[in-house]
This record gives sequence, C-alpha cells and structure tokens, in this order.
Amino acid sequence: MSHNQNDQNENLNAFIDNQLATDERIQIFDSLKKDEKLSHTLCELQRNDELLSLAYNTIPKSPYDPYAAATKFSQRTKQMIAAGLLVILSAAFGWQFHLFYNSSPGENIQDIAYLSSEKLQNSKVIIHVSKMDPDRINTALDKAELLLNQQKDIQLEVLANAEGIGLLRTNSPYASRIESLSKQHKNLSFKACGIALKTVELKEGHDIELLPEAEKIPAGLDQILKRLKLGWLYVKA
Amino acid sequence: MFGRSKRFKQVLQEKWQELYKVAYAWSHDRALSADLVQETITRCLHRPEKFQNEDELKIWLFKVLRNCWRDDLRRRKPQVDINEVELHASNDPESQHHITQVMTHVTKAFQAMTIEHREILSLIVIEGFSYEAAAKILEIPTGTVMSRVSRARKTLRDQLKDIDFPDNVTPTLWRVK
Repeated sequence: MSHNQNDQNENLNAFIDNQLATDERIQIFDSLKKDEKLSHTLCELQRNDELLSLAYNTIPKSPYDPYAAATKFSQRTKQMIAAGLLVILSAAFGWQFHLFYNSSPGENIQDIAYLSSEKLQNSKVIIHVSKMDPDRINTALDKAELLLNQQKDIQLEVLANAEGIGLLRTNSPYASRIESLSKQHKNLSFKACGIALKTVELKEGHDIELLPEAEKIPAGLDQILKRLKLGWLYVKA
Repeated sequence: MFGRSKRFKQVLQEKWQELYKVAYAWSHDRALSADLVQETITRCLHRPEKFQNEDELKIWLFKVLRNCWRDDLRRRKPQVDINEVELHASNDPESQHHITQVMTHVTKAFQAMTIEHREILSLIVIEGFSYEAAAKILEIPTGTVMSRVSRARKTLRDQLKDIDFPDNVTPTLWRVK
C-alpha cells in the first residue's frame, strides 16, 4: 500500500470519527463525490462500526456491582488501617504501662474493683471503659459517683474506646445516668475514642451519634498515655 | 478539589458500566471484566487527590482499566476460546435470528483481532473517545492512534467481508457521524 493511500485511509477514518478540521472534511467530501469506491469503503466502515457498537450494547450483565465491591473494599482497607493503628497504640500503651508499673507499682494503675476514696491519693482519675460489660460499667459509674461525692476537688474522666464506645452512644442504656451525673458534677467528663467511633461507623455503614455529654477525642489510648504522663490515676473498668 | 467532592464518587458510580462494557469487549469474560472494573475503581478511590476534573477522571479510569487488563494478560496467557464467546441479544427469536447470527460473527471477528486493534476500536468506536483522549489512555502519540484506527478498521472490514447482512444493517450511503 502506497504512502498516499495510507494517508487517504487514515484521513477517511479520521473523517468517520469526526477528528478532522472543516477544510479537511470538505476535501474528503469532494473525494467521495468523485470516487465511488471510496464512498463504498466509507459506508462499509460505518456499517461495521454500527455493528460493533450494537454487538457490545447487548453484553451479559456483570456478575456483581464492581463499584459497590470497590467501595466496600476501600472501607475494609480503612478498617484495617484503624485496626493497625490500634495495635500500635496498644503496644505503645503496653510499654508505657510497663514503665509506670516498674517505677511505681500499683500507684498509678488500678482495677475498678479496688478503687476507693479512702485510699485515693490522687485528685485526677481516668476510668477506662473498653467493654460493654454491665457489671463493670455499673461498678465504674457507682465508684465514679462515690468519688465525686466524697472528693470535691477531684477531676474525673471516663474514657470509652473499643466495644466500650457503646456507653456513650445516643442509644446507650446508661444515657440518663450519664446525663444526671454530668449535671451534678462539673468536674466529670466523658471522652469517646475517635478511632473506635470510626471503626463502628465503617462496620455499621452510617455515622454514629454520641450523647451530648460525650466529647470525641482523636485516639483513646493516646489520651490515656498523656494522662499517665501527667500523673493521673488510671483505673480499668 | 474534585477528587474529594461528592461528584467524584457519583462519576465513578455512573461510569462503571461503560468500563465494564469495554473490559468485556477486550476479554469476553464477565467475571474478569467485573474484577478489572473493581480494581480500577479501587485504585481511583485510593488516589482522589489526583483528579482535578471529570474529563481527567474519565481518561484516567480507562487508562487504569487498560493497565489492569494488560497486567492480567501478562499473568495468565490462555484466552477465552472465541468459539465459546457468548452473545446476548434480544430474545425475540423470529425477528432477531438473523441479526443475532450477524452479531455473533461480528464479536467473533472482533475477538480474533489483535489486542492493540481491539483496544483502539473499543475506545474510539464503542466508547466514542477522541483520538487525543485515546492517545492519553493508551500512552501513544496521536499519530499512532490515527494509523492504528485505520489498520484496525481495515482488519475488521476484511473479516466481515463475506457476511450476508440483514436488510436493517445494510450500509446507509452518506450517513456521516
């Protein structure tokens, strides 16, 4: 095939695909009027295009919705990142715990069962809720109330993360108790871990609303570490 | 930024069927086509900051689809047997019988073409991309697109020469796009 013929074929294709400038289109129109063979070629090529488009307009349906799968996959990735972050923070917390435990055993870390205002030497306490165990939560709220009533200068923070985030959701079974405790004690605050919240949101596929008394913080374990460094007493519910 | 806007996800949701159509034209495999589209959208969702506007996104989507398809081809050489290609046309048996036969012939002829030719015709003829956009998607110069389209159409024409076309698909003289 000659160079000229190649050019003519390419121009004819560009004409079909509407890729030519006006003057080039006019030239092709002139050629088509003079050259019957060229006209026939043009028609054949256009018919083939129509057939090709038609053939692939009636393809079998996708076995699944790739968009929905991709967005779900993306959510899974985010969850994995959140989980990874939680592992790193947990490790960091474990290390910090180890340091505190070694430096002053039992002083800064306690179990909720052993918390009492009589032995309390610290005026700043953080209570960590990570499970929705009604016994532990009721004990934690009872002890918190007791401490607040007995030690007026105490600063008490209830921090919920992981599964414990349920404590601070609007549908929490403890909502009215939290409301009444917050009204009575200005030195009591409730913090919700942002990572735990995001994880639940991804799992449930919608935004999670918190109780008005709860304040969202970026990361629960990070907050615990900060409090420990500042000398707060850590109590695990 | 467009990549962070609501419209960005809307476009992805709207475009997946077009991507699927082209992926199917290349592979003739439903499951593989869906997987390629899923992978394309996933990659897009991971890099939203890359996109400033809709046109850019559309070109990028097809570019990624093509890369995914090429990666898949490299991984597994065997292809779908063109004799087993399914064709799904209207299921009115009387009026559609002949046209269905023609369509089967067309898809088989298309599948017998080289990958390069299938790619270029899918983008230009089925998806209606401009030569410039196709050049960006395929990462080749516009001049190469022009010559490749010409060669691909010629091949298809040679393959379809001897078909007995039904009346309703007979060439219409002077019908220009």
